[in-house]
Amino acid sequence: MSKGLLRDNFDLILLAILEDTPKYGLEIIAEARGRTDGYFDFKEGSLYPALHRLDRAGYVEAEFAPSSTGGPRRRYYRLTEAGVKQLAERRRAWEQFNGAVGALWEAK
Amino acid sequence: MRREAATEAYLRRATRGLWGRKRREVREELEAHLSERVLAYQIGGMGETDAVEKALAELGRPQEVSVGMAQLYTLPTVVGSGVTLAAVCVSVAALLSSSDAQPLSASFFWPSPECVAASGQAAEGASPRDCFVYDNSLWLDARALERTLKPQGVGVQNSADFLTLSFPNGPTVQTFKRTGGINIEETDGSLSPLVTEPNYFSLWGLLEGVASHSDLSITVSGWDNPTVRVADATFQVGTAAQKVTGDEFYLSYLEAVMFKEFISPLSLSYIYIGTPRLERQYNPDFDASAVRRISLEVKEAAGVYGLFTVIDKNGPLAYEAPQGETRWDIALLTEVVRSAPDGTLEVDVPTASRLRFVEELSIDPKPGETVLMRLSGQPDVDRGWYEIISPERIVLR
Repeated sequence: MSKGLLRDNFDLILLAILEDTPKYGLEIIAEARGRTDGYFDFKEGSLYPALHRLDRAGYVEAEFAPSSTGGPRRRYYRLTEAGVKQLAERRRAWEQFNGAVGALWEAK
Repeated sequence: MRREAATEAYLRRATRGLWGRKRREVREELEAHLSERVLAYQIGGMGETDAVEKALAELGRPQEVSVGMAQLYTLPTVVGSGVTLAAVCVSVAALLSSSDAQPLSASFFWPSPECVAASGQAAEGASPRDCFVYDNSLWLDARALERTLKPQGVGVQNSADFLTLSFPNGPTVQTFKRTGGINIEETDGSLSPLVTEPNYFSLWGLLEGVASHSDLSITVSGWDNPTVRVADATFQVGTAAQKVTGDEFYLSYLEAVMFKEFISPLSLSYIYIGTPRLERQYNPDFDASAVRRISLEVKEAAGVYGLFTVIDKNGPLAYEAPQGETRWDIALLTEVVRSAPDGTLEVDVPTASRLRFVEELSIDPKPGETVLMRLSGQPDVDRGWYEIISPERIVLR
């Protein structure tokens, strides 16, 4: 998929993945790949600045928690209220966009 | 061996530009990622070395992390109306043994070899207070500087966020102090002693601001514990108790010239820089057989010289690159050195390359391309802060 598209929607993808339960980096990556059949695949290093960006923007909050494997602590991210709102808004905008494009394509 | 070096190198590079607690947090997050990935691959039957390589490859280039993070967390080093932020424009005067100003000192923290050995790790933000270095940046105690400059007629305003210097009959220079990054919190929430200490500021941040004023002269003289002179005021970097060596001080200067004048024009982004002299001291894995000492005879007068040479980015000296994959755009060795009374310079150069002394790097720099320069005494880029030199003779030692 084109890189430009991913960059624009990276936030939306991450917010959507965090919608249900708090997750840490590797879980988020696995979910992004799993739920989209590998369509959303990205260089893993780029995940963390994106998560930190969402944190700074107030859409997610993060905290460390012990790892079940006894390794270094994991940093878990969860949506904030602002994040929930942002997700809903972005989703609405996306669906509107999709609807409009779909209508264009269907019209012959 | 390579496993520790590769992971550590990645973590260091990926957190470059971050400070204190934020640096530790990002590092911990990445460590957790790597640790779990590697474990998963090992459980799947992979050997440790391969598992680490694969996990690192999947993470991608460390700059993808550091650049993204730096945009979020790094603050500018110089602020001031109408002042454009330029690369470090510090110039170095020829060696002077005396200055007519009072020898004054600002307390300064730098890792001495004893300090590094005692803490058992490369200097990071959370080390004891007399080991304080961030990415080759020099940090000065702002209150000590204030005490030093005020008697010389320099107006000093030292607020929580800014250090402002007003020179007699001259302009005002303001530098942003990275106090937020230096207030280090321990993981248990307690505050490290550095929080209660006077604020620190980046020397280079200040000197950048000074150098961008064309009517402010600035020179640096001396080797160990060098003296900085701005207009008619001077201060010494380093004290008897906390020595700043010439190697450490002038390497920052050489690096600034290197980047601004030679590297940036090539649009390279992933650059390895090693300094044999320091590697010998601090890096137990340093491969001493990969460098050799040579003497360069130079025609010019005594002074401080800088040299950088392109090395094989897959070779033993660019040791942080994982095997089998070229990760560096360019790898360089750097050296700064004073000329001896007989006009010779002793430097360490890679054993493998034939040196070719050039005035600029080629578009696709090859191992052996070498730039030798004399760090000159003029204060800004337009007046020439370095001079390219060709050695008269090279003698193998």
